[in-house]
Amino acid sequence: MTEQPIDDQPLVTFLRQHRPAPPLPAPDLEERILAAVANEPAHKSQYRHRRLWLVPPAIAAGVLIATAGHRLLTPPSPNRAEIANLEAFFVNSWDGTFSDSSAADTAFEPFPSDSSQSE
Amino acid sequence: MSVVPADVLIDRESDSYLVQKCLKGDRQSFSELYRRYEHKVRSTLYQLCGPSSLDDLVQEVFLKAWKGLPKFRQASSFSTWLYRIAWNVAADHRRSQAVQRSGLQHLTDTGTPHAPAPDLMQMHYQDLVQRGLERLSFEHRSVMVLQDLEDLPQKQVAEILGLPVGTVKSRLFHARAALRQFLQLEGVEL
Repeated sequence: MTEQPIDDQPLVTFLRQHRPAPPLPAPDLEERILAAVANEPAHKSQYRHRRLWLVPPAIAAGVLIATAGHRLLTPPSPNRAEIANLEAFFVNSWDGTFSDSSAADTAFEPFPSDSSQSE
Repeated sequence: MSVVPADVLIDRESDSYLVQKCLKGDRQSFSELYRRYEHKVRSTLYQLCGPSSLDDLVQEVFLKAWKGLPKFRQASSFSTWLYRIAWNVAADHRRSQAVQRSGLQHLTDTGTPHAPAPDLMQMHYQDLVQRGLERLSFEHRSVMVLQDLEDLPQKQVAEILGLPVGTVKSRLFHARAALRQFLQLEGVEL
C-alpha cells in the first residue's frame, strides 16, 4: 500500500498567514548601525594597509635573492697554485702561437698571383 | 516625456553595484543595502531567536556584513551571503543563550486548552506558529523559516546553510511533519 503524498500547501499558507511579526525596531537603529559602520575603517584604506604589509616581505625577499645570486654567480678566487698553472698555460699558449706560425702558413695554398693568371 | 523618480532609479541599482561602491568606501550605498534587507534580516532573526536582543542582532549582522564585504567574492548573490551571516549570528546567539539557560527549566503555558474569541483568533494562531517553531530543532527551524516563511528557493536555502539540497528537502519534510502534528493537536485543521 503506497502512502498518499501529503499536500504541504495548506500548512505553508497557514504559516505565512499567521507568522508572528517582529517587533518594530528602535527608531534610532539605522543611525546606530550606520554610526558603527562609520567607526570602522573604510575599505579603501584597508586595501592600502594590505598593500603596505607586502612591502617589508618584498624587500626582504629581494635582498635574499640578491645575496644568494651574488654568491652563486661570483666565481671563487683561485689559490696560488691555480694562478701559477694559469700563467703557465698563457705562456705556453703564446709560445705555441709563435712557434706554430710557419706551419700554420703552410697549411693553406697561396693564391696564384695576377701575373700567372694573365699568362 | 515621463520623469523617473529618483528613488526608483536608486532601486534599479543592483546589489552588486552597491557592493562595489561600498568597497570604494561609499557608506551611503551601504545605507541603501541596509534599507533593502533590514526587514528580511529582522524577520529571519526574529523567527530564529525570538524578540530578545533583536535590534542588537540586526546591528551585528549588518556590521559583520560591512566588515566582511572585502571578502565577499560575489560567487553567490548578496542576499544569500547576507542571509548566511544572519543565520550564523542567530546560531551563535542561540548557543550563548543555551549556555546561559542551562539548568533552568523553560516554562511554557501548554496545559489548559482555551477557546479564544474570534477577534483574538489571529493572535492565537500567531502564538501557535511561534510555539510550534520553538519546538523544532534549530536545524529544522532554520530550513522552515527560510523556505516556508521567507519564501526562498530551496537551492538558495541550501547555499545559505551550506547543505546539499537533498538534506534541505529531508529536514523540511521532517520539520513540516512535526509542525503539522503540533498544530493538529492544538485543534488546527489543515
